[in-house]
Amino acid sequence: MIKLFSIAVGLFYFFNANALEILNAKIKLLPPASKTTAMFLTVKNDSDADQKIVNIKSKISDEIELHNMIMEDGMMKMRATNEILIPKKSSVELKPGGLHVMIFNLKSALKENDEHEFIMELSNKEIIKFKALVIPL
Amino acid sequence: MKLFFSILILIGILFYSYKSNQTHNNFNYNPNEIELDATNGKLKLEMFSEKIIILYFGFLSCPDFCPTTLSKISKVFKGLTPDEQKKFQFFFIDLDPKRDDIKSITEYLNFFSKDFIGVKMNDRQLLSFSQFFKIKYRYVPLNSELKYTVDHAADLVLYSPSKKQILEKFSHSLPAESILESLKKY
Repeated sequence: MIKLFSIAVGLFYFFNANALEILNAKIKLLPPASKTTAMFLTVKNDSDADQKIVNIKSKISDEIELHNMIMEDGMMKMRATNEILIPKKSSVELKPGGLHVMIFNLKSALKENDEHEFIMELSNKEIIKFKALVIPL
Repeated sequence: MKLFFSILILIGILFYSYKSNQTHNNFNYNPNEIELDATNGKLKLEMFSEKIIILYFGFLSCPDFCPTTLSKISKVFKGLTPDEQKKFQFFFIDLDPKRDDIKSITEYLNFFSKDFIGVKMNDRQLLSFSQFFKIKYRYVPLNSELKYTVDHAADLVLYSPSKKQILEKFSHSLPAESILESLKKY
């Protein structure tokens, strides 16, 4: 009985382990010649602790970075950022003209409606897997 | 005596502002006459004297903002009637001549519209050209795979080659519907 209970608890934690939920992940379909693209998504943090995204990995590229767009002095500026903070009990939208994920040196050209797997690493070493859809944006 | 000095100072101010204006605006510069290396061959803006030119300055390794603007423009053009479309010509001025060649600019633009014209200039040409259109840009080293990025004004410039005049500027944040509405007035 205790064994069964611990399995149940284990399963519960297994399915609820992620502090963050990834929604609506989309990769921008760009001209086939383009080796660089951007990914947008919404990150929901229902936990009671602030979370920080520190890294994103995928088989489609070895160089994936977190970036931000800032409008300043009448110029659009793109900057790399080391982490993206997702405050507790809130969600952050990575969208065009703001925070986004940059994917460099794509290993092969992206195709519309393809899905690709990603791994997100948080500052607390937690790992979240998610899929993103390739669409023209 | 007081009046005399005031007039003298006034003349001084006028002369100074005239001079600084001159160096700033580059009065002698005529963008129409510059031979441009474009995606459809060599051309000059004066060849489009019957049209209104829409200019956007950007670079190809900008995967976020530049493609968003290009797809916005292609949407705007689709909203115009064929007769209205003929009144305008869209130009993409590449701000990253070191990384972007004419072949990649062509492929990139064709993805959005076959009617878009892309232009590549050398650094010096680009500086005077963008100054004329009052588009600021700057190369900034980046701690990234990208090595450096181009900070740039993301406005759309409406230019009349026949009047040699900027007619209007659209802010980067203006939605396609509003741009379409403004273009239909011409």
